[in-house]
Amino acid sequence: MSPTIAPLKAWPLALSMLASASAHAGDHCITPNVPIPDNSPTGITLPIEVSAAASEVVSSVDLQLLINHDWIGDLAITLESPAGTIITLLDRPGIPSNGFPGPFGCGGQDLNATFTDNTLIPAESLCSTTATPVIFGFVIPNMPMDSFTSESPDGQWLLRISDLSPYDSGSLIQACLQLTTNIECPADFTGDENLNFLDVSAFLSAFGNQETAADFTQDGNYNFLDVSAFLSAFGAGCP
Amino acid sequence: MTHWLSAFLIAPLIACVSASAQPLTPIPVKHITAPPSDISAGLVKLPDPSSIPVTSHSALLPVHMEHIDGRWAWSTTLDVQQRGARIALLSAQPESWSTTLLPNNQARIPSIETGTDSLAWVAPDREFKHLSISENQEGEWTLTLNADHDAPGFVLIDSGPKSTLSTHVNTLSTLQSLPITLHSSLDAGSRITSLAAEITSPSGLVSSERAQHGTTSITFIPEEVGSYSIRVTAHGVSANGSDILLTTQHLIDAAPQAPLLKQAAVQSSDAQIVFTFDPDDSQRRTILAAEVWGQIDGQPTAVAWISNIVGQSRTLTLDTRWIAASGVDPSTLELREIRLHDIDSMVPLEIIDRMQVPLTGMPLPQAPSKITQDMLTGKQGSLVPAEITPQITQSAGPGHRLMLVHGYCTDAVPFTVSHFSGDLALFEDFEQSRSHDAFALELLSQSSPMKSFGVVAHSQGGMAALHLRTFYWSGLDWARGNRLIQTVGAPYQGTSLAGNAAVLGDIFGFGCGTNDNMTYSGSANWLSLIPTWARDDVYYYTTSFEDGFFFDYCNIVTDLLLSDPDDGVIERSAGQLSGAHNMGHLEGWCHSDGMRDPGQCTDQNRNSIMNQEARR
Repeated sequence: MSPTIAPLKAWPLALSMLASASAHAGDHCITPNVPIPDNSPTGITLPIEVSAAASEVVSSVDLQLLINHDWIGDLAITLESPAGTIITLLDRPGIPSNGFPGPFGCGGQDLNATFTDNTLIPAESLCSTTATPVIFGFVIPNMPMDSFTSESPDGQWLLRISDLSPYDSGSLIQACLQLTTNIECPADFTGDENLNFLDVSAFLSAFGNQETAADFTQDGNYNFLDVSAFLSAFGAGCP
Repeated sequence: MTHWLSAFLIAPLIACVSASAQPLTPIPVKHITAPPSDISAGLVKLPDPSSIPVTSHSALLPVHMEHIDGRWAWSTTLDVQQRGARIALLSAQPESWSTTLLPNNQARIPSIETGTDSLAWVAPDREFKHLSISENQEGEWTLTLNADHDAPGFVLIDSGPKSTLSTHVNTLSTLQSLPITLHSSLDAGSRITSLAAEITSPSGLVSSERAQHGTTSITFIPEEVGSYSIRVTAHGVSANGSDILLTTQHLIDAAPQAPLLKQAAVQSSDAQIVFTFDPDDSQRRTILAAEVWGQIDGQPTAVAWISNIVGQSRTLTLDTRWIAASGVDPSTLELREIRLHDIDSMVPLEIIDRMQVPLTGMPLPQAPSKITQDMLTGKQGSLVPAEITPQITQSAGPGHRLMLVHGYCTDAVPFTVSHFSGDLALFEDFEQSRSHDAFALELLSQSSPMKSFGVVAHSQGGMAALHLRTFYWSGLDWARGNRLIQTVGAPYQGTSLAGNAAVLGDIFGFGCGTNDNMTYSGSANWLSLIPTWARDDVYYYTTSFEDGFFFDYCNIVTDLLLSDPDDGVIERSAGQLSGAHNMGHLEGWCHSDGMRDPGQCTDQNRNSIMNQEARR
């Protein structure tokens, strides 16, 4: 399956009896252009609203940030999912210092980068006395973005940016949360993206063997309620 | 708030504060690289010692009084030509000398001007008598000094035919137990008839050497480690047959030899090649440097020049992008002119002409489209233990500042502080004589509260700032604005006063101490380690006396020791820094207050410009 790119709320969530777990992607951008308070651990917290179907789960997250700041080593940045998972993207790059760039961290200016798991360059490895923006391109956050995998994307994501040292300040210009989700189809028991008798057969086999996958109601019991739930899902088809 | 360096400098120092020995603290050093153009321009090479002689147009004569008829006396004869003569009386007890200066032909009434002046830089807080025999009083004169007790000193005389004595060492690698030869010459048309040297060892032992008949060289072997002060005396004859008596004064550091570097082991990765030499178990800090060469179709091609401060582990690092950029075959790599310098005296301790360091099967990155900063300074560098003392002065606050830095052996901030605005820091390390490296570490220490800083420096402060910028990571690397290091009156190529101060130290005491880094040869050793990218951050000003009808000096005593034009301490020519930004030369300003023209650091116009243009 190849992901489609579109704003989440406009996703053509094509309901198809032939679809199973399909991937979707979309950007959720805010352009707050707000100052980041200097030397304030509280910093700023910016919500990014995402609407998604209940059947959607996160398969990957990227975050594109555009920050103007005079001393990038002042900044700590985290991202919190609607489920409450928090990861650190950046934590005062250059600190602790092993000589370079010094105990105040990286003194470079500005950040225009996409935090993603799909690159080889740690964000905090980019520090230069001359490059502006000093952190740029596709970069790995301090903690992996796949911490959000399988969570529901629906709800409010929280971007927190704080400046932890005085004398230099800056602003968040833009943030774009780039989500790729899988739309789950539990009735596609064989995972072949087709709903047919083979799924029914596979479910009944699993049910007979009391396999976890057959516990459709997820109540730890294997009974008619699971069969009913499966058939209901099968009847409803897949998104 | 975290302070600059505090994570790895201040805390260990506080922990060791009760220790009697200075603690060693890891200091962040750069892996320095210069492009091949620096090699071809000769900027990162040692000069031929003959190109940096000490020159003199005067004679510094010791006064050894004799006891005659109940009084102490000393006299000398002067050959006074049409241009007249100038004399400075340099005594530890000036008031104890009574002076007579008379023409041997008593028939005429002598015309002599007298006055007093300090001996700038050498003994700035003392006044010395000087005498001038005005023009058109040719003939023999006799200077007699009388005292009621033995009062030694020196007499500095500029008389006789206009002539210049040049003396240079045969090697810049002046090492303990290895012979050092001084070659002397007079300017064209004149010849030396006899040559002698008085050599004072670091422990004060005085020896005399004479050149063999018919030669103009003197060789001695420094058996001790440290600074030798040497006074070379040349007698000669000018083209018109007049007698010449001139002296040059030298300060030569005999450095202790270091363990040999030996053949380098080579390790390579995708990003860098590391050349590892034999370690120095004494952990003495030194500066290691080498040219990297390779071949393209059999033709030798310079790849880069690399250098860094080292301690026990003696390695050089080359970013492989330089090899890619040069296009040389890695299997033909060789190091040339491998140099190991003492970090304080800057004396080359070992020089190896060539060393083969071939590499095979080495993956190379793509050739870079341009030279990036990290190709010049290394991405991270390394930590080398050094002695450093934190001296957080009250004026050194945090943030981004402009630091006003004084020079050698100063007792106050020379700049008019009110000419500067914004966040300032005043460097304070008064009345010290430090090597450029020790001075730079003081700068590093005092700048520790600052995230970044720029420098406006006077005299040696300029070299210290450039040294810091070149070799260490500091807040200088993060300063923003136009000009990182602005200097006034910085003797980048040295000053002859360094040698004179060493010789005169016998009578004045050494004050703040001798300073090897500010001799011509010490400066040349140091400059050979400063690449263009660092020099390019320097904006320098020089000044000199107002060339008036009656006066053409800043300090009448040092004018006898320096070549015009000068600011009383440094010659304009020695204040030049190739590869840096020459911001101009202005007459009417002298090196420091108390000279004939105002002190160069009090020029409001220049200070205002420097304040406006400074990075912080």
